Amino acid sequence: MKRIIVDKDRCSGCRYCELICSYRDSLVFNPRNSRIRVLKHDELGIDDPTVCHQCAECPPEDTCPTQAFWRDKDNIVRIEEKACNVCYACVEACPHGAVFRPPTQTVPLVCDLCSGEPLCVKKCPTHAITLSTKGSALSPRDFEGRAEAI
Amino acid sequence: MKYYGYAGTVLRINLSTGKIARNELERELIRGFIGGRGFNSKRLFEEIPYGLDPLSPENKLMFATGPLVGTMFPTACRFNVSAKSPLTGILGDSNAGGHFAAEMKYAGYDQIIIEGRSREPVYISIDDDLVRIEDARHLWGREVYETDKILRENIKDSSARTAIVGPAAENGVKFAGIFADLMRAAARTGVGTVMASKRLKALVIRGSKPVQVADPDRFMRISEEIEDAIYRHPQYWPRVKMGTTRILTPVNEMGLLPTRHFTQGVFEHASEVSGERLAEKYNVKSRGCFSCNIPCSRFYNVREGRFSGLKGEGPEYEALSAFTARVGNRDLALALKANDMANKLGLDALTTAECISWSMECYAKGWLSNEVADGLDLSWGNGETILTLIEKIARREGFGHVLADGVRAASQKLGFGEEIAMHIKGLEMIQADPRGLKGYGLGFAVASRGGDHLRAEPFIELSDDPKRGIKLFGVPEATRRLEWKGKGKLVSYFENWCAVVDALEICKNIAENMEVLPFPKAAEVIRAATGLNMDADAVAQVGERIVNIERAFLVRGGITRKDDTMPSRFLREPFTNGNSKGSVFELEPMLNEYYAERGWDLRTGIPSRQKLKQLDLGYVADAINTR
Repeated sequence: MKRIIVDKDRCSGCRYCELICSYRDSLVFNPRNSRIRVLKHDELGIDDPTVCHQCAECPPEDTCPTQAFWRDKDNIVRIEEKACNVCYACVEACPHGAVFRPPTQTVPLVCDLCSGEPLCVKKCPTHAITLSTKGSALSPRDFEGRAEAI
Repeated sequence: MKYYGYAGTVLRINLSTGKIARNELERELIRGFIGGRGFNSKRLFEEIPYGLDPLSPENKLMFATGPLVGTMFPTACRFNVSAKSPLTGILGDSNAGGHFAAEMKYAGYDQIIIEGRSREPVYISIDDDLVRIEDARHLWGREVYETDKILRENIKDSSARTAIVGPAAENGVKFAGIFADLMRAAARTGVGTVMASKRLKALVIRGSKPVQVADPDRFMRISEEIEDAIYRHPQYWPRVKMGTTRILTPVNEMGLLPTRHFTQGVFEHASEVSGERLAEKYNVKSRGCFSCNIPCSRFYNVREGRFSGLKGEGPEYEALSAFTARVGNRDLALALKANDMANKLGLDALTTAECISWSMECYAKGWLSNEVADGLDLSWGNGETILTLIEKIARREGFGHVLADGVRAASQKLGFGEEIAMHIKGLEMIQADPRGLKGYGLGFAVASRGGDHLRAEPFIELSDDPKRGIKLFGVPEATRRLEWKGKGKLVSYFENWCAVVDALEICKNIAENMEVLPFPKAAEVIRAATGLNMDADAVAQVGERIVNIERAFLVRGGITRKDDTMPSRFLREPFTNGNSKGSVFELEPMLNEYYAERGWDLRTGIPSRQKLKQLDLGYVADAINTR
């Protein structure tokens, strides 16, 4: 089971991940079209890459009215473009805020792991974003008690 | 054809009338000046008339970014802010990194020009095409961080980027800065003062438009090549660990660390305040600017002592060494506090430290009495005095009011200390003594914004590699820091390079100091990003054009060779100890060589008509009426 793990204490906030992610889809640069976002809090020096962690509970039951929010045969969380009615219920439902609303008000954006070799992992200068292949899917509980940045 | 990389729009906002205009970015501006500092300097020359009062509504405040900003090109994140400077009366500009510039690009603007003056305090909110002038009365008087917090609460979007002026700017301190992302200071030459004079408290920007390059595959290939060059560079880890503060120790070892207001070149407590010390004692995390793979900014956290709880980013070398060696202070935490105060109040840390250290030298010499200085004990390194003066300057209280117009004006007002007021053309000098670094010194003397190193940064004079000196500049001395020969050619070359880097709005530390983007490489990436067909010579010529139009702006204001000088201490008093012992600054022969290399008149330092015409600046030659 592959999933992306982030370490916000290592993240420098450079947003290379956002740039390469948006470039992959459209060959242009636009962080607002990225499937990973770095939340920043400059006063406290916090840079927190927010991305889908393939939580075991996802998709939450009865979230998507059209069942477009699903897990594919490799168990990867996806939003099926054709089935999506663009209601953004999934954006609201994700407890990590890892499903994003694009500026064009089209199908929500969620990490698809780049067919198993995520470009953000490859590009991250500080190795704050890594790919884990171990164990089963994470549950939200696994994030509890993680060290608060600074 | 369309030029890629650019957003293609110039936004003009008149705060007197409330008029907001969008104009197409001019093609000749792109071809002649590339971006950023180039755009601003060209427009300043054309739109700011001779004799204009910098604090009048007619002054213009220009933000500009470059064609690579918003892409994944390493370090492409910077912006220039320009205006006629209230501190120096000549060209004013300052440059900062962070995330502001990219957001400006995503919102769809290459340049934002603020004109006029609002009646009430306002801030400008930009959300793509939606540009609004909003009431800022509730923000006026507030410090930078506080202002940012209130603005964010209001818009509920943490991804918005801000550029803010602090109370110092509002109070008319002539060296107030503009602070992007809280701590990215564009603070030299008083651009923040100009912003506040327009009653403009902040810009808040959000953008969602894409930035597209001409040849994506090629562009990504070059970007990756540059990225690798940065990762492999021997300076990579020192910079990640210490940023520019890594140079404090070597500058001290070379005997040119301005100590106690340039009275010495060696600070005996350097090891207590060095970059190494800062890293091991206080740094907790590396932070980077937008699209940068070498995160050289450091977040610090003071966990003990009287400043316990203090946290923030930086400081960089200039602020660190200015609030330590320059003022004779050996308390590192106090220097962090001083820098933090300057950031929050909105001051230029360098100029502030010059004003304080100048006062301290005047006090040591017995010229300045306690009474004039509000009863403060101005002994070298007095921490309480340093912090009190920062606050007083920002509030224009008592003796702070005297210092708030800069060191040149303070010395004139008080009637003493003019010869030791360490400024060039009104801009307070940086933390490197020109007696120990001749090429840098020449760069200070001729810099178009006054006493500053960022116009030239001729770092290879530190290489001590005579072969390189001969190859590039014809003489082995060019690459030896204590020699003067070849420095005219050296500075001319590096000024052109820095101008290109500033026009592209990428990081000078990386592109120039780490030598990852020489002219041929710059030409390649410009072509891949924009589609502009330029070879290395054409790119170098853009740099030369920028330097020349800036010089013309100065010449029109009355600047000539006599102003390309520096305080007499550097010309007459040799260092008495350290590894630059015995050295003075040989100004005149260096100037001769520099003007000759530039094609400027030897007697006056004015660009010749022939040179300007060669750079397609015939109209500039007419405007300044040169021969």
